[in-house]
Amino acid sequence: MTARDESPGYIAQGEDSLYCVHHRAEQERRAAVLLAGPLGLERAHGYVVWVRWARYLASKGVEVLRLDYRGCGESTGRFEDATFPRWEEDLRTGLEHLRRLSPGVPVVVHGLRLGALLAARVFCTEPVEGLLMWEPPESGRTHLMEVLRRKVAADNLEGTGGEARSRDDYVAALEAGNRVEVEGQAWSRGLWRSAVGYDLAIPEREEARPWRVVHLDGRPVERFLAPGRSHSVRAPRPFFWTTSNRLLPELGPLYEDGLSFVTSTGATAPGEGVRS
Amino acid sequence: MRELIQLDVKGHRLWGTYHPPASGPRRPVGVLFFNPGHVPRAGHGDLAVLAADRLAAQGFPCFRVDLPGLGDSAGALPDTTAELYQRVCQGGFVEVAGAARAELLRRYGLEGMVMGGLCGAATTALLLADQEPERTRGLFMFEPEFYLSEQEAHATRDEAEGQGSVSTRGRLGRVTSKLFSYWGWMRMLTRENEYARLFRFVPFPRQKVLDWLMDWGSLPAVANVPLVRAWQRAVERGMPLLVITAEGKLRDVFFARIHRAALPDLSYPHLRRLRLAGTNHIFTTGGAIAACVEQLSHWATEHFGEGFSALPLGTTGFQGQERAVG
Repeated sequence: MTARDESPGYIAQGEDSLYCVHHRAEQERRAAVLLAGPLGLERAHGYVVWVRWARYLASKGVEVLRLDYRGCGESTGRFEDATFPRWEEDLRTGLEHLRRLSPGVPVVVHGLRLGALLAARVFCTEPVEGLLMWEPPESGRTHLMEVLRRKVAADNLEGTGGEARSRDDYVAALEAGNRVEVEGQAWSRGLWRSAVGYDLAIPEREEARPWRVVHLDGRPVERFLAPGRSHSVRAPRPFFWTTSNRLLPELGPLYEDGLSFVTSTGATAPGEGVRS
Repeated sequence: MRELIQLDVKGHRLWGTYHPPASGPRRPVGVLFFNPGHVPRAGHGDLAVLAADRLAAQGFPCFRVDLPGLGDSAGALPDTTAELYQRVCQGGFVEVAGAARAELLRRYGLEGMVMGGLCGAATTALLLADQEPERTRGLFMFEPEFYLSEQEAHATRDEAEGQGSVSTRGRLGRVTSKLFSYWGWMRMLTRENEYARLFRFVPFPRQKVLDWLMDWGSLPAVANVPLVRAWQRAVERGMPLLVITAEGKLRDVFFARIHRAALPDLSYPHLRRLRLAGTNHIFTTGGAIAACVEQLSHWATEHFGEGFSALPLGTTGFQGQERAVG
């Protein structure tokens, strides 16, 4: 039997329930991290690594809470009702829950892909001590267009999905109020429109709290999203949140970088430097 | 409504989700979903969640369980998906899946369980149904894979050919491996690799070549023989079976061939076979998830709904139903 202390559960969110898993720190608590995961198939493919990252943090004395957004995975709700602001609300609810579970330690929000977009927004308005973003898209629209590109490419390659269409056709269908099936989920006009203008909220230059963007493609400094606040780590390709032959890719440097960032937030007192 | 399940079986702590049946008469048979490959218990596009919600609304207690190392359940995993696939093919999850099922049957006071899922889930469910048929009431298998992994097939072939064959391959073998790769051709003919797009521009008798490559009368060399035998026995027992495949894709073609080769003279009245047009292996396009949920729901109600009673063993009668759903 595993010695790990992991507690899945549900948090009430209006009429719905958010599924979450609390990983208790296996040694003296140094910090707490709220994990904001990716969307759709990226969630499915990245789950093995995402769970192991949570366990790694817990083994190093970090409390972790990870959750599913409404309409996704184990959480209740209809995907058809999903929007970026609703998912952001879910993350805020998760944050409150984590604070109750882990009082008195610095709290960091950490997002991967879509989760990084949401985490950045939460960081801007909530008294958290740090923000860590892995491979954030530049905006919600950029992200959805990237997923649509994958759909178009896969359908064209495999001869699936009916009559071949372009991304613009799908966007037009969404704008017209039609549902579009993307990677098994029914995107709505509400989701599409909520992504427009939902840019990555890069914290302001004078932000005192620690935050970091980590690019996993090993890109050079001149292509950093946030020069001076970005790191570049080369993760094995294809990335673990896409279809990959490797279940457990070598991510030691990424984990160490993340842990170092998370534990360093303890240097800032909880709540210090938060904008209201 | 959903509830969490914790199962401590065979030295593992497994996490799962219970979908309680809607108010009204509760069916005496539960429905159990396993992990599709390395993916968590929700499935690709949340297929298992949607299916369990639908079946629970019809009165079926439904369960989705993460097997060791997958989803939220702790446990060691191999480094690659190919190794995991090999473990699944060899029945590596069957013992713990059986213990999980036994515990669920006991805890919820059920007469039996219908089991299945996509890909690896179907393999585990079929092997478990074969080992412990007593309380298996039916199987639903989406995109079942009846063949060994490429690596395993190569290893089997190398073993059979002996050490000398390794050196005789070498550079020439590497050069020609693409051109003469059985799997490469199969993937292309079933439109699952990058060369398949050529068919859009070049007239090519894809189906004819596929038919020519297939020897419909015998099992292919890459067949997972223990799994095929398990399939034969499941059909012979007269267990209700639902098989859904992506029309024209690799598993669809293999299933047709294996089924035909393994059961040439048998009738199989309890098998329903559906082929979904325009979708992929994981059912995430072409409306396949909705179709799959719909079909599973009809099948379950038909076989385990009102007036359900334990099925007699043995079969008589007509050939199975086969339909294509577009």
